[in-house]
Amino acid sequence: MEKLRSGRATCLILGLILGLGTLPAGAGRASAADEIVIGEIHPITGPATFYGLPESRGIQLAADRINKAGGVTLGGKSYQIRIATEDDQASPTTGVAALRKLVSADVRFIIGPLASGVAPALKPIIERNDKLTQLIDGTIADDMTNGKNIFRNQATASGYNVAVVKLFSARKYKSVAMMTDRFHAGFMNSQKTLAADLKGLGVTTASEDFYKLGDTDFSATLTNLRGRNVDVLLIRGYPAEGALITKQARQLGFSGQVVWEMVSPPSTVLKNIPAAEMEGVFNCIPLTTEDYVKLGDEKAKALDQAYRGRFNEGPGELTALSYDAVYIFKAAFEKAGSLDNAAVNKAMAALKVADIPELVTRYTPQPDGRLFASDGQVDLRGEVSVWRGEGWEPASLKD
Amino acid sequence: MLRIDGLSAGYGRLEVLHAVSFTVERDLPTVMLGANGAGKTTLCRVISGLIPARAGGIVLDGADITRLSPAERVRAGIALVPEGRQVFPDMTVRENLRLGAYVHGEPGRTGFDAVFAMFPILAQRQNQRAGLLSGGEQQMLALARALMSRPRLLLLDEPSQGLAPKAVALIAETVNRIAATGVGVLLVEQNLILAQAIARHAVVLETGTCVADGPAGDLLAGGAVADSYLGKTRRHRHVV
Amino acid sequence: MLELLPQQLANGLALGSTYALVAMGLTLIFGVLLIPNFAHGEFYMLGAFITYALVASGLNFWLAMAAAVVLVTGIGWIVDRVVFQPIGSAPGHSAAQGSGLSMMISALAGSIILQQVATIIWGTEARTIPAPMTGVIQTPYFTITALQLTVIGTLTAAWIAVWLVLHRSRLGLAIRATSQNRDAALLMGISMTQVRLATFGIGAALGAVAGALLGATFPIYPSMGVTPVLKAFVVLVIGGIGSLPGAIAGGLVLGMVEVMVAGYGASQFQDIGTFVILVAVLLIRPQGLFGRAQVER
Repeated sequence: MEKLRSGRATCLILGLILGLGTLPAGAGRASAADEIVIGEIHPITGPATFYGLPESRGIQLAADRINKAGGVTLGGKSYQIRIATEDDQASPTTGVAALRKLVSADVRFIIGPLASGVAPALKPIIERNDKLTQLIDGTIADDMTNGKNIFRNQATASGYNVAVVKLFSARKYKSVAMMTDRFHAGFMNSQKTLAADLKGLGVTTASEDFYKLGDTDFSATLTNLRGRNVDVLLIRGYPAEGALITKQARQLGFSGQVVWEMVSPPSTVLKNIPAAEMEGVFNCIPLTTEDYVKLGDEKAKALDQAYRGRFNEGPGELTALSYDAVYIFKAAFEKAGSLDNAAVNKAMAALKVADIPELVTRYTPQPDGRLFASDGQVDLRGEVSVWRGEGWEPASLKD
Repeated sequence: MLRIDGLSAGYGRLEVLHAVSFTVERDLPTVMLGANGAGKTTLCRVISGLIPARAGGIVLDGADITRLSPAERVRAGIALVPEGRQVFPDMTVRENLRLGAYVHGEPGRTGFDAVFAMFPILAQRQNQRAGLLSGGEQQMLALARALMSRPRLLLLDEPSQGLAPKAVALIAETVNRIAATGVGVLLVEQNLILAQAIARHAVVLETGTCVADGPAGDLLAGGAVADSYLGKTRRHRHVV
Repeated sequence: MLELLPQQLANGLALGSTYALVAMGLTLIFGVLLIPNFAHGEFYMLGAFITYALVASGLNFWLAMAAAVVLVTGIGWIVDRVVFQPIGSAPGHSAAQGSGLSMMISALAGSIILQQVATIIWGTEARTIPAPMTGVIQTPYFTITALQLTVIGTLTAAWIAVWLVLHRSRLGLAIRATSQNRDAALLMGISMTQVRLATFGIGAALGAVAGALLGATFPIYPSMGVTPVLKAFVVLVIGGIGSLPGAIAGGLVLGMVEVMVAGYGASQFQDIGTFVILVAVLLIRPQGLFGRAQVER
């Protein structure tokens, strides 16, 4: 009996510890009257940190900025935004646990996730919960939104492909070999359409090869490439493999054009390939924070400065998206005039690009001026950039 | 020269030897008899240091060697010819012999010559892989390898196992020659012919306990051995 | 396609020699101490990271690699002392037998701990060691990079060095004896401590060499050792466990098969080729190409 009781006590203590552990930091204050909690789920640690951390910081910056300017005004009352950060390590299981943590702390608005692996795992849970509104600022996999309570202000892979098609038509390339990360849902699902679009331009797809994250030897595929004499090697995936494939292709004597389709911070690229070997490589993704800065965009410059001032380094490629996401939420709250999820969802769907002057990212408005299409997806198109010196810059497509 | 004093040992929770005591004198080659499972091989392993003693002591020429490592025991003068020969199959005969002398460094020419004189067959085969030798030749190699360490006491664990009578006779003759040079011999055997050919003293081990100890002639002729083999003895004081 | 065959053979040789280099240290430790050392992948990873860190701080690549080899050898000894020796001497395990599963679990634990430590120190972002040499050698039939040639050369040198240690030194004699019959080696008065130190030292050093060289070719990150060590186990099975020539032949066979499958089949089947070969070897020659079937005499 004695033993049983002590056993039960142990269970209780364990339960308490675990219970406490599942509450996000500061969740006890979640119900404070004049506060809106926005949860964010990003890879703060793990293999995708270099994408995730700058996103999380962008969110923090936007929230601080909004709060300093008076917060969110609802019915004459102003609210401060508080961010509850959860780390998903780019892993689906960790991501689901993170979401549950936020839900149990009654967090109703979510920004994220980044990873194409995490988003599909969260989707069924969020879709069934009418007390959640999600704004995805990361994955480019297709079919992640529903236009009801799941929205996305990041492009889709099809949006990236717009730039690929633009590049091919401008440069009149005749043939392409594609190498694609076979576990990247966005690239895999959009590849057929891309090949068809290119075929429409008269481009032959000489080969399609698939690899996975962590692969290191591409020599066999690249040797065949040389035999096929293609104009373009198109690499769709993540930068470590992108750099490795580019390097090995050059070593094996591939002399055609290398085109990337991936978000690839120069710092990450340069850790894996010397700058000289990157010279002239094209990249087809939407403009990044850095691109906007290079284009002289005032809002981007301000964001860049604020970011550097606070974190002592430049913003990440996706920082602008995450920053914008907070402003999109703010606009939706104010348009809805309430924090009720149904009202916020409705307001979100009806938002017009012109309603949110703070947006850094240049979205193409829907025909009626709205930000989101009826499926909850923004229209964000890829642009062609080119590697010069130590980084990417917007490319001019006229020779 | 070797005194085993109240020695207990075993594996995991199983105790195999229970307070075994006996002595081996230099001029009295001794045989230890006992049925399968009596603990004979365990005893050899404890004496050579492959498994630790749980209680009791092992004294060699007045020095307590109970806590020494196997290497230190070889240096102290104990050499075991293990059950099943255990030669190094992928090495040459010569390399096997070099390993026998391992504790003393590289054996000189004289070291090899002394052994080759006793085992001419090994001289012929010295560059052959040990694994290719016949069973009898492997037993000779195991014996020769043990001698390379210049032992004071030679432990032989079932050297007759799996050998033809002719080979057994050869072993008996060889061991007798070794004993004649002043090396102590403890032979662990089930083969009574070999035991009779070598031993002058005998010890009978039964389920981990010494049940008889005396001159080989008396014991091998008397009933103690037969009893022990047939297993019809009184129940034991030590029950696991 | 056939005109590309010489190039594909060169690719296979280059890839295979990377596998062989990783497999050598693994087969040595497995063959002598019967330890399935999953942490070998981490010796490889640490060799890469330490070289990277030293090169980044301005040291010459070869000096950095030498320093990494020394450090990883020390780490190898610590791993043996902390991860494996307690298992061997735990009650209920005689040192020689019966603890295969515990060894494997302990090895996995050691491997995870080392990965986490590396994550804390260096983070998870992939990077590549600046190559000590660039340049491509062009022949009429194939091209190969100077670095790939260096890997092949290092593999050959490492093989010769290990062979000399094993066959021309007293310590090597003791190591070989232990690998063939551990109990008998003990009876010869061979000190297991010495053999363990030597084996783990050489094994870890080989892992570090592989890591430093391949880290200049492939991206490095804390979990980079996991796949190569699995491949190395496949190489061991193909070549025969505990056999050095087996590790080299097995590595080359595996590299060739993978390249041929990817070059003449489809790239996504590259890994499938690996395991088809594995199953084929297990069916046709279970002891591996260079393994000897165990026959009791």
